[in-house]
Amino acid sequence: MIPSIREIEARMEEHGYVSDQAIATSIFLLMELKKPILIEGHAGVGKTEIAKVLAKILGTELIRLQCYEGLDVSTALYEWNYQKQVLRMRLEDGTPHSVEEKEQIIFSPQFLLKRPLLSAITNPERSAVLLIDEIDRADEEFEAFLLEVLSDFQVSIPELGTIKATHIPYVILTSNRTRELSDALRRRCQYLWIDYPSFEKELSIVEMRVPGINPRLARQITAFMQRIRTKKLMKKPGVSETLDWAASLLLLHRDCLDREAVEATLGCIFKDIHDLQRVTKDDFHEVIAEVEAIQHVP
Amino acid sequence: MCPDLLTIPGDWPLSPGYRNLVERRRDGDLSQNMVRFCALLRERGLRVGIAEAVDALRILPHLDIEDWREFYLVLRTLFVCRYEELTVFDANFHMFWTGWGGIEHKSLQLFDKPPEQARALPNPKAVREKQGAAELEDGDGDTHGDVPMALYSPEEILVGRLFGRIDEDELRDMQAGVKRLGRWIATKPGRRTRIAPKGHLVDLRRSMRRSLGFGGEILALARKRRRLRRLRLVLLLDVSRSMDVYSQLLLKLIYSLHSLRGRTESFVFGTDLKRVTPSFRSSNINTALGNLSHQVPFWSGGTRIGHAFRLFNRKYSDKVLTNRTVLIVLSDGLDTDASDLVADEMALMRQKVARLIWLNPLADTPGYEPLAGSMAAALPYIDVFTSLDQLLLGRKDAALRTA
Repeated sequence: MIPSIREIEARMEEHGYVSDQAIATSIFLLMELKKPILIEGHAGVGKTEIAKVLAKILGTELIRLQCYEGLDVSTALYEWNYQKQVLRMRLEDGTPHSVEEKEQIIFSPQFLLKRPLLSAITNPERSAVLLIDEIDRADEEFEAFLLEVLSDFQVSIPELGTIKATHIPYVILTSNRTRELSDALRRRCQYLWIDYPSFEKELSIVEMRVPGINPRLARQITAFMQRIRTKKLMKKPGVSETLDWAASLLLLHRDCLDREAVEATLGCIFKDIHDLQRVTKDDFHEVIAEVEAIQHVP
Repeated sequence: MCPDLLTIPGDWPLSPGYRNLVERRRDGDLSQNMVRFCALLRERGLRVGIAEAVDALRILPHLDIEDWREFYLVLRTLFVCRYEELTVFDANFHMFWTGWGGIEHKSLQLFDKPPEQARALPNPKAVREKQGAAELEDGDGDTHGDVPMALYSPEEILVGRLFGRIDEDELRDMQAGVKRLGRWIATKPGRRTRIAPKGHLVDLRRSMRRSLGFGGEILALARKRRRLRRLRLVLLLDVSRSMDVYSQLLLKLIYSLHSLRGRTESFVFGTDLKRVTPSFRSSNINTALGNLSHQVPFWSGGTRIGHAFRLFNRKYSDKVLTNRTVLIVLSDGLDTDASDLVADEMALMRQKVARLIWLNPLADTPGYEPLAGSMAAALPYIDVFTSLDQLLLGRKDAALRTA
């Protein structure tokens, strides 16, 4: 029985993901129609996290394929286990098997190394969650190949024949928009755009993911991040940076933000030397002053 | 579900085909309305097919029928497939399902984000849509207004005064240099491999297969090598007055780069931007120059780097920039635009390309430091900052000052 959109939202929160109705709707449609989700959004807004939470909700395995330039079929789909094949050939020495029989043996499933795509479609028992991360980093050729797998959910291996999916996986693709994806791929997916969260949403994320944090500190951190994102930066900090920062401040036993605390931990938020320089030079003072003024709201 | 939903105002421009569809039947049947809605979205440029409509109708019985936002989100998720389409969808959703300008939808608060957040998006397309056509026209107005610029010159004068005639021998030297250059700036070893008897990688799969014939004894290793990936070149050339002295060199360079294998796109900019790739398809360089002189009215005018880059990003960057593109900017970085704009546009370009090279003729001048306005603003986004001479000499290690 597939839960309703509201139930999904609640279940995601139980598993530590502060969701919203749009995200829950996509997951609902993914469960109902098995239509892959293409998630786009800035770095660090929790795109990958959605797949992890979904796997937890469904109680199934998460299989992740990290894309990169030059990703090819043997890394994404399958590869033969050559060492094992050679060993087996040695053992076969002196047995009466013919060449054809030997070939049958060493090109059988037990010598096949399953890579993420193949293991996702051959997952026994139930559908796995297949996360194809940063699809925009892979080549266009790979995208075309992926399209083929995603439409048929079957794979041809010359030595073995066609392998059909036992259970169609729940597919989630993420993209950082460094490259325009093909229309064909987009049409096969439902689209989900995740923006930076609002103040309230980010605050509840911090409170949920960094338990034990001082409420005033949580408000200050969130306010700081919200303000800093409106500045011109090379790499805008995402929610993951907020969480890292909150956790670091907690470790340092801080219960409020002041200039010293911020300067000591700038490395958690800014990952680019130009941003660091720019921020320490100009806009920084007013933001700190504004944030320092925030008092605890009971 | 919604009996009188199909209220489309008369003054809303629609194609005759769609108007027929709307007017022929106006009843409350949900599946028909859905088909009409899809047709409307197609009309507005979204790629919504029958399959999407069928998905939507299949899913509707599972929804909470009272919850409008749920209905909206489901349709949005199914019908939209890129960020830019979100605003189009929103506008049309309200027009179609709640009536244009109806009070009803304002209380629903369907939208997820305030407009200023959407504007901060790193995508030129979105920016273009948000800022609207008005501002674009504004920008163009500026170009033809107060900024000094050269007017159209007849071919003879332009070619005579600025370019001279290109000497074939010099061109050949340049082409040889560029060919060398192309080998290391415009290719890189890919991750894929091809069969090569003397390759440096072992092809295990083929080795195994061959060994079968010898009872599993691997007598000879099959070999392979990495395929060389050819990168695409995109050139942005500054043709403003301050670059005049280099124009001969510059044209030889573009022409030589176009004769490299692989795809090259070139654009010239000054106060405006112009794609000049077609002019360079001609096999004779002097014919190419003739073509060019007809096309570029702003040659030897002022410079507005930021403005030109913005035009480039809006109009071309999605089509020509990919992660296998090398973007070469040839400019002295002297201009009149706000340096903020340059930084923004450079950041957009940098995100999309494999490598960004800025060739500055001044870089060889003793004591020159890239500190002025636009040049300084652009510097953080540049991978290689050097002069053309040094690049052509091919001294990549010593000569290249990495930004």
